[in-house]
Parts: sequence; structure tokens; C-alpha cells
Amino acid sequence: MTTRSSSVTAEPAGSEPGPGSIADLYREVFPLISIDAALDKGGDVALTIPSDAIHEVLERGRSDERLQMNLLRNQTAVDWEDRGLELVYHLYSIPLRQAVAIKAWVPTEGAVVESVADLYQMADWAERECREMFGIEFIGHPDPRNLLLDEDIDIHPLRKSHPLAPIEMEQGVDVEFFTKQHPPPEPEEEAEEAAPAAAAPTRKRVEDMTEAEREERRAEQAERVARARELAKVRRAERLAGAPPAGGPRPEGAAPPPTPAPAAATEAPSAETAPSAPPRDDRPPAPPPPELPSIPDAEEDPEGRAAAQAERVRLGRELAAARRAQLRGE
Amino acid sequence: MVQRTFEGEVLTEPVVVEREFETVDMNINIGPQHPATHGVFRMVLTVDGEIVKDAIPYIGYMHRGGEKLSENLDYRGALGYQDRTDYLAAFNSEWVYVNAVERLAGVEIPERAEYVRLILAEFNRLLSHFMFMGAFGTDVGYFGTAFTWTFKERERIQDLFEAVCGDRIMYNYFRVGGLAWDPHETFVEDSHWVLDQVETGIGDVDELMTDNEVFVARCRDVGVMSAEDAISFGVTGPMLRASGVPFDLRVDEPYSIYDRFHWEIPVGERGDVYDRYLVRLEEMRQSVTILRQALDQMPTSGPIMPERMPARLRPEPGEIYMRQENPRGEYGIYMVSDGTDQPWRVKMRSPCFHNLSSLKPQVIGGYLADAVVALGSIDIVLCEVDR
Repeated sequence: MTTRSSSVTAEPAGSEPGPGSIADLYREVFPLISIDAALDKGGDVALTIPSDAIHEVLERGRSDERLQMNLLRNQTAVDWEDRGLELVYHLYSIPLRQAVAIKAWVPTEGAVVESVADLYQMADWAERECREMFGIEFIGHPDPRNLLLDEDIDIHPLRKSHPLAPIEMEQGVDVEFFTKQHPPPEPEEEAEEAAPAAAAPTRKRVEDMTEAEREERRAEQAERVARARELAKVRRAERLAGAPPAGGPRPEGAAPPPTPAPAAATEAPSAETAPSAPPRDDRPPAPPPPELPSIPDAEEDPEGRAAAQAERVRLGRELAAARRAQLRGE
Repeated sequence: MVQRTFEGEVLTEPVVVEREFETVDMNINIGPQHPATHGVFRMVLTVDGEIVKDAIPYIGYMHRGGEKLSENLDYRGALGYQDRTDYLAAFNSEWVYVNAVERLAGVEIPERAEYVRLILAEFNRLLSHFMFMGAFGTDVGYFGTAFTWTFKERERIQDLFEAVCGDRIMYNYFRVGGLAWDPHETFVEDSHWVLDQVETGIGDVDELMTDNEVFVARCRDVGVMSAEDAISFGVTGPMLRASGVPFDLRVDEPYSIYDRFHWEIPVGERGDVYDRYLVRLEEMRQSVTILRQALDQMPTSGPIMPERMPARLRPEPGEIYMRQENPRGEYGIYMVSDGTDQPWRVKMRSPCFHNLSSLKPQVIGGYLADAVVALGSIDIVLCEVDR
């Protein structure tokens, strides 16, 4: 076994992609391909190329003596919604110690890219993951099957058009409760509502459903997805505007988000066949959550912030004690 | 064919009958619930007698969508998922995540916090490699002995971690900007004591396994991978170094304060399972060297968080690919910000994922029993493979 000393250090990253940078090297090697260069926050150079040139750029970047990009360390994509998908290849040259990111834009639907699995064997699994998560087809891939997801699943979960909210609804989380400001329900109403829900039969398995029921279920899921997408858009707009998170006090003048009213949600035709929040066990329903005081910003009101946090902790402990007592059957 | 005695007497010709036996390839399913697969991993091996002819790995049983979940939480909230990817090296994974957020948001870290992070991460490397020694020893045949000896040392390190952050596996101790709280008062003395014990423990493992004839016979020239193949598969960490490539991110793309210490990178020659074991064993000794230097240099007092931190992190739009050397190889976080308080995209580059993809060429042509040894030498954590 041999050892190598650690005293050698690489060149510091962070310089502008000026003369002599890896962007110029790439432009020198590929004079006919349009290359846009940009620096990322870590000091690496990211080059954007046309998507039909990916295979050529990676192939010659691997064999050219000036580049020698022999390690494909990471491959993924980013969904930018209206602008399409951005494919990213992170390359590194072990002999020359230089890193670069190669990017290319592809459309969201029906994207087709040439596979680089013949150049880097690492791309075999990476492209399988990218294909199932984003729906990009890689031409020439030796084994295009699902890798992490189940074989039957043909949705693309990492796309932004596949929001997390419907999954949470399916799992029984009341998403609208967390995303919308509303007063806590009265305890009596809660008890009345909970009783029929607990008595309702458990949800039918999909395999046992008739075709009509399946159709109904599909329609119901489509409705949920549409509602969740609407919610996701509203929340994103709020975050971009710098508004406080939903649930806190809304600044004056800001319009409340156009979320569907909770009454409409309960009146949905799907509520009887498949309740969105099925009872998980026969425990009694949890006590209603108390109204929590909002926490002011630390820079504006430090004392008020500390007091509000202490109040929240006290309320939380009370709630926890009440839940424990209820679970014990007191 | 004619046989003769010494006297030249001709014996009767032996009758040789050649028969064609029809051999049938057999599929053997290993996993997903099998002790040799170190988690929920399944592979279907096609064997001809005892020779492996094909191997199809199946992963994804532990896929929890950590990337999607991280994209739906704010920058600080998603830190807990990092403990649950590589649970044997949780400090290292947390470190990559907070470093990515800090660089994205432009947060400066106090020096003392940087030292504490480095020390805990190197201790975690020791912890993870001890786990490898125990589990791999069990794969090869030291039922019990390797596990009990290495877990004795693991307990000491875990006790130290418990004193620092109150948890033994899922630490959640690093914060964006520094640490959750100061380590306890006797942190440096305790660490020195643990290091003394651990050094003895490394010697014990060395004596137990390195020169053992059975161990060497099971590991030498098994699962051989050339340097070109390893690089092509994106293999990193001790596996790549065992194949003869001296690539270590702590030196080649230095991050944090690793340039203040002097240590050596062990490199293998043959690229087989035995070299991977030797490289990891030597790495543990080098980690002890780094730790001793870091504990001596660490400032005894000072802040562990910046004076002012924004209540809600909103990094400018931009992106970063942060990568660091974890016990299993290059762990990377590719993070894209869109100016809001939630990351637009989080991609975890898992070293085990790519190391595991190189399993197929290693096991084809070898014996069935060697396939288990080759799999064990990758040191997989399935939670990290599936994310």
C-alpha cells in the first residue's frame, strides 16, 4: 500500500469565469457550440449548451487532453415549470483537478436526450432515476426501467406539477387546516362530526372496486390534485412576496388566498365514498388545538417575541397533557 | 492413450467415456430481508453451479422521497432528513447540508464551531468504519467476535456524542451558522480519552483480522475493480482509493479547515476487497491523527453562532453543488434557491448509490460466496442509497 501526502492543495475557487477559466477551454475545444458560462455560489463554472450537443460535449470533454473530465460525479434535473426542465451534469477531472457543470434546457413534456451511459457507466443508474423522477427519455439507455419507484408507477414525483399536498391528503393530513387561517372548531361540533366518521366503514381497496367506483376515485383524486396545485401556487406567491407563513397574521391590504372554503371541501361528492381523513384507529378524536399567538420578528420586538414563544410552549404543554389524559381514557 | 509400467509392459488402455451433462442456470434470490444485504436490498443472481453468471440488483425499498420533502420545508427544517439518509455518518451528512445552505446564504461561521464540526465529523468517520469492520467481519466469518470488539469502541464514541448533543444516532446538532449549543465543558479531555481507547481498539481489529489466513483467503483477489472502471462508475471514497486512485475531497477540493492539518491518504494497489479493508483501517489511524491535531488547535472559548442571524433565511437566487468526503465517499448536496424561504431543488448525491451500481461487474465470474463478501466490502447504507 502506498500513501500520498496531504500537503498539496487545489487552487482556490471563486474567481470570475474570465480568461483562462474552464469556460474558455470549453469554448476553445467546441468552437461551433454556443456556450453560456456562469459562476455558481460555490465558485464552480456552469456552462449551458444546447440539449442535442450533450453527448458530443461529454464525449470529447472526456478524451480531450485539456479537459480530461473522467468523473461524472452527479447527474440530475431541475423543474422550472414554464421554462421547462434543466438537465445538470457535474463533471470533474481527477488528473487536472477541475470541476464544471454542464447544463441543458429540455421541454417538460416529451423531452428526449441522448444517453451518456456509453461514456460513463455511472449514468446508467443516474439516468434511470432522472427518467422516473422527471419523465425525461434517454435515447440509447441500456435498461430504461424504474429504479427507486415501483415498476407500475408512471408519475414523475419530482416535477413541480406533482405537489406534495395530495399525497398528504391521501395519508390523512388535513392540508387545508395547516395552510389556511381559521378559528378553532367548537368542541361540541367536533364530537358530533367525529362520531359518524369513526363509525364509517374502512375505505375500500382499489382492487375490490368496480369500474364506476374507480372512475369516481380517479375524478376525486384529480380534483384534489387541482386543489393542491392551486394551494401550492398561492403559497409560492406568498413566499415570493415575503408574506408571513399562512396561519400567522396577514398584513393589512394583502388579499386572502383564494382557497376553496372548508364547507365546499366537506360537501365534495367524494366525501362519502372515501373520506379524505379516514380514522386511523379507534382512539377518541384529539382536542381542538388552541389559538396560538403569532411570534413577532426578533429584530422588531425581542421582548414580545420571547413572551409569545413562552406562551406557545405553555399552550403546547397543556395540549399535550390533555391529549395524554384523553388517551389514558380519563 | 497408452500407459506403460517402468519395465515397458503395455497395460490395457483405460476406457474414457465422454458424456454431455445438461446444466441448467439457476436463479438465486437474495433479499430484500437478508442479513447479508445489510438492509432492504435485493439481488437476483444467475448461477451456473457455484459460478455467478449474472446479477440484477433491485433497490428502492427504502425510498422516502427525502428530496421532495426537503423542497417543501424551509432551509432549517429539512436538516433532520440528513440524519436519516446515512444514519451511520449523520454528522457528516448534516455538515454537507449546513455548509451548502451557508454558502448559498453567505453566512460566516465562527472558528470554534468549525473545529467542533470537524472533530465530530472525524469521530463519526471512526464510528462508521468500526461498523464496517464489525459487519464485514461477520460477512467473512467472524461471527460475534468482530461485532463485539468493534461495538465496544463504538459505544465509547457514542457516549461522547450523547454527552455533546444528547443523542446517539440521530444527532440534529449542527445549525445553519454554527451549532445548536456549546459542547460540554470536558469535551476536549473526554475526546482525548476516547481517542486513546479507540487507538487500542484499532490495533485490536488489526491483530484480529489483517493477518488471519482465512480472512486473507476470503478477501484477496475477490471483487477486483480497475481504476478506470471505478472512475467510470462514479465510485468514490475508500473503494476508489483501494483501486489506486488517490482522490480524497479533503485534499483535492479542500473545504472547511482541513488544510491546517497534515495527514496521509492511504491508497491500495490491487483494487480487491482486501485492499478496501486495508484502506479503511489506515483511514481510521489517519482520522485519529487529524483529531489529535484538531483537538490541540481548537480555541478553548468563543462564539459558536454568528452574532446576528436572520429569523428567516431567504438566500438570493442561485445554486451550489456542495460536496464533502463522507466515510463512504463523496456526499453532495445540489441546492437551488429561488429567493423564497424554501429551496427550489435539493438533490442528494449519495456515494453508496453509485458505489453499489458497480457491484455487478465485481461479482460476475466469481463464486456465489464471494458475491456476499464483495457486497459487504462496499459498506452500503440502504437508507442513503434510496434516500
